[in-house]
Amino acid sequence: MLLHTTTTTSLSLRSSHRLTKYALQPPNAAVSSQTPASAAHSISDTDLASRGFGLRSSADGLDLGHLNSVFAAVGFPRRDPDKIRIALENTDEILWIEYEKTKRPVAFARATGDGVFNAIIWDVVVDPSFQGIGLGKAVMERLVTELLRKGITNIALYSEPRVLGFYRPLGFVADPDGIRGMVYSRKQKKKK
Amino acid sequence: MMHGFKYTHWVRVLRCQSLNSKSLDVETLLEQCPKVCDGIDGFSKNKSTEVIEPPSSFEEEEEPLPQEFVLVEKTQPDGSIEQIIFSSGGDLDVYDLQALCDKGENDQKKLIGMARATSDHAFNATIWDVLVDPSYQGQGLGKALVEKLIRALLQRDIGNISLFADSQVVEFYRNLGFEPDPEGIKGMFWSPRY
Repeated sequence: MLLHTTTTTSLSLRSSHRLTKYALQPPNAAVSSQTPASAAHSISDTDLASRGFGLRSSADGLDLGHLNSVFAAVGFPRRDPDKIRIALENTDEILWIEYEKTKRPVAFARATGDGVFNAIIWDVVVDPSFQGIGLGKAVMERLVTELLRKGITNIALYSEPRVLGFYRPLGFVADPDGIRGMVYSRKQKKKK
Repeated sequence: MMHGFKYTHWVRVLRCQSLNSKSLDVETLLEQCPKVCDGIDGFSKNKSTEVIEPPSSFEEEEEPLPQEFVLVEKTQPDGSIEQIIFSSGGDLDVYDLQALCDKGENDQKKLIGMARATSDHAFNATIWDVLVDPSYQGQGLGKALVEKLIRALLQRDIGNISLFADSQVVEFYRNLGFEPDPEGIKGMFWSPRY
């Protein structure tokens, strides 16, 4: 089912142009009469709105201090707001949910990449007070839909072990074909 | 000016000679006749080269060109005389030839490897597509590419450098300082459902 990486060199990393051999069926493929994006989402845009949540797809109106608080609330290290600003400026896709009553972000996710082949999703967070009601799922579904709409089919992320179960129903597979996510560690470097 | 000479294969050669013995000035040569390289390529592919309009002094004549003659003679500002000499036959240094063809359009540089990373320029970078031409593998080029990439990212204070490795290259990246599944964190990929 998943991609076979053709290794023309011994150093090849997973690259998404091999994905083109799969017939991709985005959720809204067959549905021409309905509103495309929300047709297959677990919670519709209108549903979210009726519960007091607004969907936002750009950093406009996003208070970085509030975002930082959500990061801290879920256990991320607090980050320099200026660095967050730079990160968001260099991020292709941003999706967040604003709680209309407080005008604060309660769910957030973003994706970086090369804009054509590959994307990586980072910083998927839901304010602990708003967890368990489908907001994380709402953000993720829409982010993936948007990436697919742009033709980006190689969508990756790094998942902590305890949330693997959150990403699986969204269509994510861990270590497909034995591919391993690796992170550079300054202490790790082997001495030759 | 210089454009007019006729040649079939590469036997005709241009030499630029300054009378106070400076070495061959390839740039001047090329300025004078950029067609020389086409002629040389023509030889190796055994195709005939194009005929360029000969200098007017030879237009009327059918007799063969002399072995060697001065096409242009120029007096330099310092008083020395520079001659551009046309010659046929004789020896040609292959390395001179190569160097001549290397200039200008016939650039001999070839891409044999590359690595790229995408990043948010603040926190994260992901390395993709580390490629080395199979003929050049095994020489540490891939390692050099990745090491340089890492250094460039770290210099810009981008601390989280990640990648996704096929199982057979996990060791390669481990030796460069990458750790698979740190703290149990797993790489996941979106997969289409049928």
